[in-house]
Amino acid sequence: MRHFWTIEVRLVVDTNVRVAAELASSKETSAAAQLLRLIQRKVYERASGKAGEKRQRVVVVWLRSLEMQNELREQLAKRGFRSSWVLSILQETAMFSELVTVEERDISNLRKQAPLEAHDDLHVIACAIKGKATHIVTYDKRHLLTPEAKRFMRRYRIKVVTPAEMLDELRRLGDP
Amino acid sequence: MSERKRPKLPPEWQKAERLTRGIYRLHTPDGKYRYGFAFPDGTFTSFSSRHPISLEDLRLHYRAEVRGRRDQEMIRKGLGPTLEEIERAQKRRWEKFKRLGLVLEREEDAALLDD
Repeated sequence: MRHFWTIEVRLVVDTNVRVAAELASSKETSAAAQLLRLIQRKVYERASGKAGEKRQRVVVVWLRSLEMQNELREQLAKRGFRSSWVLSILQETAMFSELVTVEERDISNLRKQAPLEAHDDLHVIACAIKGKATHIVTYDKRHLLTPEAKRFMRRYRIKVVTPAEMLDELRRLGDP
Repeated sequence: MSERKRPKLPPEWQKAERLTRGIYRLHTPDGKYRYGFAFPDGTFTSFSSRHPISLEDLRLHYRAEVRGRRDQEMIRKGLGPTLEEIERAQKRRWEKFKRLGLVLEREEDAALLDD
């Protein structure tokens, strides 16, 4: 019998990456759009059983919390998006991802430990820790892509990366 | 909704205030609010908002969650839209955003609205 190994990559996609994927000027060159497309394809194939014939070597799980969904709604609303457009984007996100419930105590525990500059994104960090994420994908250079935040997340074995870095890592793992 | 059909709420939701079908306001010890969603499949989740949130927006979230879960289930059963159909719909949506001038010059700019 042939031996199969799988790696589970559990991603928290920050709101700015979700917005960037939706509003990229070119879907072909945007790392965020390419990453989201890859995640959707892998999640779909696994859910529909289409991955059965060709076993997935890298299993991708997209994690989110309702706090992050709410942030996405707020950002799209700020840009003047109609409710029906926001609904379809939120619905699609819900279709392809797993929901993590983040409690108040998860955030307050983190407030005591996390570096100060990451405090604006504790809801993202809490979602990653609670959802046992392996990566946080973000464009946020001020709060999450800092050496301090990266060092803090390493304690939980979570890497903080940009969409391009995530795509490189997935390619390196050999699946897409 | 009749008492018989009402989902059994978790113990920590006993004092929850029902805002509308499936949506609750939970009182937390620190005096802040959390919002609870009770889904038709009998599962629950809750969340807090950093900014005030209207009932209309709570309904939007609830609807998106319910529909997203329904789509997931349909895909699992092989009854949902195909991936090609989903991608075509996404492309149509993006073309509309592009026509309306909503797309970003540089995608990294999406991070600027975070603060």
